[in-house]
Amino acid sequence: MKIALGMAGRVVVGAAFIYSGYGKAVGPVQEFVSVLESYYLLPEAWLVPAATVLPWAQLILGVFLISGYLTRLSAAALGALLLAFIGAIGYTKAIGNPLDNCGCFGDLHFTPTQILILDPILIALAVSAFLYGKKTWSLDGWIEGKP
Amino acid sequence: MAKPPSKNEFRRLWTGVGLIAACVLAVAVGRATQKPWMPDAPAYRQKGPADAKAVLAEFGDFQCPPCGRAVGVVRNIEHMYGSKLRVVFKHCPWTHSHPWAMTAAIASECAGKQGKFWEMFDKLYDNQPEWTQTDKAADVINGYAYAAKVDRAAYDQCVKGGEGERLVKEDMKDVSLHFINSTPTFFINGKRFGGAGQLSREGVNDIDRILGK
Repeated sequence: MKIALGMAGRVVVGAAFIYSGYGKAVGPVQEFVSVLESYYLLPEAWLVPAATVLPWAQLILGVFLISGYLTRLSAAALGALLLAFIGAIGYTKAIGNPLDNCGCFGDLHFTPTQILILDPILIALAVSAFLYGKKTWSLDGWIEGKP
Repeated sequence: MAKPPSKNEFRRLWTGVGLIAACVLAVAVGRATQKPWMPDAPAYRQKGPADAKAVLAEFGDFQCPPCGRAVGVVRNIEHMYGSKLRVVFKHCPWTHSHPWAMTAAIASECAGKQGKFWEMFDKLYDNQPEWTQTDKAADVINGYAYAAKVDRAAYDQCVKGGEGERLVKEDMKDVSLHFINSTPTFFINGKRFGGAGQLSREGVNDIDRILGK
């Protein structure tokens, strides 16, 4: 059961971040700048650097987690990112910013409310990946000689 | 003296490098093979040849003053590139701040269905100070359509029957999907330019590059 939970956490959270990060990394940076701009959260000077770095972080950490490389570190980092996303969405709701698309998954539309439901589920899965995902079918296991 | 790295540490290092390299390669392939986003619109809201190498799309609001000022820039660009360029217009009426923007968008759609979109486009932008500052804007806007010799019955039916509004709202899905936060926002073969200034400063270079000038 624990092995299944760990694997599910790695696959679901890893795949979600790979999908989200890849689409943004492949597309023009201005697209994601516009998304970040619409949150009224970051100073203007930070928009382009954040829009450049965040998709790569999502993609690389997603690949790390799904393949079980630095499993605990990547699960913790993605969990922290999910918490930050909840904070950002909560902020937009608190200031009455009427976003009807969170911009999290490119062409896939999710409203802020849907994300406030989805992200805690992903955080729970990231926790299960952190606790139980390291040893089975993972690169960490292979590196440490326990495939 | 520092201990030499163990076999496991080497494995870890090179595995990480390999995974990051795979990500970089996947993104490079994705960028090389991805088709730029081309905003879709009915034929009557497009100008220029369908197979033009450069496509300039504008998300605009007929009541927004910067959109009115951008018309001259777009006309210059059309003049410079002629038949090598296709121009597409997408509706983005800011109904909260521009009370007549939706009325104008609907009127242009209903005239557009009769092949008069660009006539309405010119009338609405060229006379923007006139109709935006009257309480009877709807009458003035309809007057432009009638002056363009639309079939009145079909036009009125389209305006009052909801067909025009449905078409405008169809466009608004792209506004939401692509986070259009201000107008005018332009796309040249999928690359975004905010405002007429950015379009004239940087967009023209992009069109030159696309056309291989």
